[in-house]
Amino acid sequence: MSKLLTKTPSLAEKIFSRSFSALIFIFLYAPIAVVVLFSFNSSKRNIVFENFTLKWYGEIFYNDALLDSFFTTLAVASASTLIAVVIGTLTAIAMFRYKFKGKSIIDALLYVPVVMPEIVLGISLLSSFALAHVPLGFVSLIIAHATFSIPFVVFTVQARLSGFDRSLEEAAMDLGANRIRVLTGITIPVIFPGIISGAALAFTLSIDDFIISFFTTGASAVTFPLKIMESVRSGIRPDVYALSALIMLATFIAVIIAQVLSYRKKQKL
Amino acid sequence: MQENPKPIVEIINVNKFYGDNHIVRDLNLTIYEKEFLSILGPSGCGKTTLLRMIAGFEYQTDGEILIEGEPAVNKEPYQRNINTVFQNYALFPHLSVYDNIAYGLKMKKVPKNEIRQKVAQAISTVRLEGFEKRYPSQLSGGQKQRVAIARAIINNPKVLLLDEPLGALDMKLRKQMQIELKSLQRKLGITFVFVTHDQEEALTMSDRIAVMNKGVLEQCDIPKKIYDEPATKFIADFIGESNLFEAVVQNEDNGVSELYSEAGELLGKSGEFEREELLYVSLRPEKTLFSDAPIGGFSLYGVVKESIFLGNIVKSIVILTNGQAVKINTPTGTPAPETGKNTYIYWDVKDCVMIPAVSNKIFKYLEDIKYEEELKIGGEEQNV
Repeated sequence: MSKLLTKTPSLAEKIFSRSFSALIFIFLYAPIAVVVLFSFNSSKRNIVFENFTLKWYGEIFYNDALLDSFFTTLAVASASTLIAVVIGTLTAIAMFRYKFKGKSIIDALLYVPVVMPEIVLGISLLSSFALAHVPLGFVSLIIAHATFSIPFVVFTVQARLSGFDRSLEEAAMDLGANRIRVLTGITIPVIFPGIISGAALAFTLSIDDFIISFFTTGASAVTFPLKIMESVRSGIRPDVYALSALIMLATFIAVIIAQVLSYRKKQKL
Repeated sequence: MQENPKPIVEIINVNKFYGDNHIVRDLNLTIYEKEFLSILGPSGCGKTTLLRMIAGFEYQTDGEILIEGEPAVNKEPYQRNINTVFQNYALFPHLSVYDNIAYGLKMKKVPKNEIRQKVAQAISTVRLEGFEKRYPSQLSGGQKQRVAIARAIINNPKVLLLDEPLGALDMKLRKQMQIELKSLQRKLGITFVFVTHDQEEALTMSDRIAVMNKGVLEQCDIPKKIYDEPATKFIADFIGESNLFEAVVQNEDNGVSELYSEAGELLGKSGEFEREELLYVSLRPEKTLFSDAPIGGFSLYGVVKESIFLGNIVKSIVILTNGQAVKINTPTGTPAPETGKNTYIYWDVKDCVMIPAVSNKIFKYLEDIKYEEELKIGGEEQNV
């Protein structure tokens, strides 16, 4: 069937389509390759490549400010993700389960922070914290990150819930489970993949957020993106490249593990 | 069923509305211990809603449901000694077969050893040995069905509700599961309430059948009575095949009533019918007979349009003079007129079922109202 519909491509077509695909990948990965390349450069200036070295990778561990910012980012991302996942999941379940007046309005309101320019959200959060006398720092940063992450968690969990069979909950109740046990033993485990992808999304958004962090933090909590931005003014040191390359490697491994796991799961089902 | 059966679920004057939709109307039904009761009706007749009210997933708008003599209105599904087998099985996808079946016992905090023992027993009852570690997605339809049944019966309920559980299975498996379910019910000695739209399924499995149509319980009786003496035109039509003659009573004499239909004169059983009362005379195709010559009291005449050989019977379709098609089944080997031949038809009066046309009374009532309104309008016009 497919042979009838797709004719065999000619040589010219083959060359064109392959080089086009190659260009796309170059476009996507060349900047990343540059960062990795210069993380191995012995020269401090990132214009010419002198010699291969691993010293910058060692230097990361002596650059306390850089390391601090990295751990701040991880801590903020973990805390804000946890808050966003709890609030977002419960919101999605409530929206799925109950019909109430103004539900569609609330649904629409959840989309607004997603499309709103980050700078607006940043300013609003800043003035809200000022009004509420929340000192800018670690706590305000976590609250801000949780705020913009919640809608994303709601959406991913809602997507998972749309395929959820409510008779599963009824079956559990029929078998003697009260409402709490239905939630913890049936509903949440079944929608867990949605919760995990919501969490992954929230975590990623938090890690690389710059604009909102810029408005909502003080000197006590400087995240990795803020730190890099700061160092750009005085010229980026190669150890920043090295840390970036390491983060990239970690991301790469995480993606591969996720792919392998989902492939295995598909094989099992 | 035993003598003096004990009621286990009593449904008293129950109504259910969804918004303006009247789903269940003034329903009264008593379900007894250890019986196999089918609730039969076309889709949308309210049978599933009735089942869900018994299970506790829905509450009646008014009326009362008693379970073991106690009002069920304040009881959550998990407080009722009733379990359900769902239409789509509703197996927990993240739990293995073993954990699915054990779920009810775990909720009741039964000791682990006892759970293991009871699950093993339930698995052998539904013959699923060796599937304990599989997940629902790795099972066939029939296997899922067995898990759903095992998961329900392990809790030792007083009543097992089954919502069209065989709907998704193919014909052969369906027949096999029908027999298995019936023997399982006998073995366990618990009440089965089985919702279905398949009349054959209901007839073969049930001790009693409750037939529902448009939210109304039209008849509840043993299968033979439902088949031989349908109480309404709907049931005569829905259960098995019937020839229905709309007829008007002319005369009653000697236990036989003479009637007149569009197709001609015919005889029926006598009752306390009024003259000119509209009735339906219902006949099973196997009780409808051919004749070469007119039979006293009958003047139904037609032409054989088709005769279909069905193995043990021949099914003939006769078109009467008014265009009505009549189905007649004759055992293979007995003489029957060929296609294209003219024939008279008749029946033994004791084989027919007389069904009063309730709608007739309603039409009469509506006509009266209309007549009165017209009078009123006429009066107003005169005033102007």
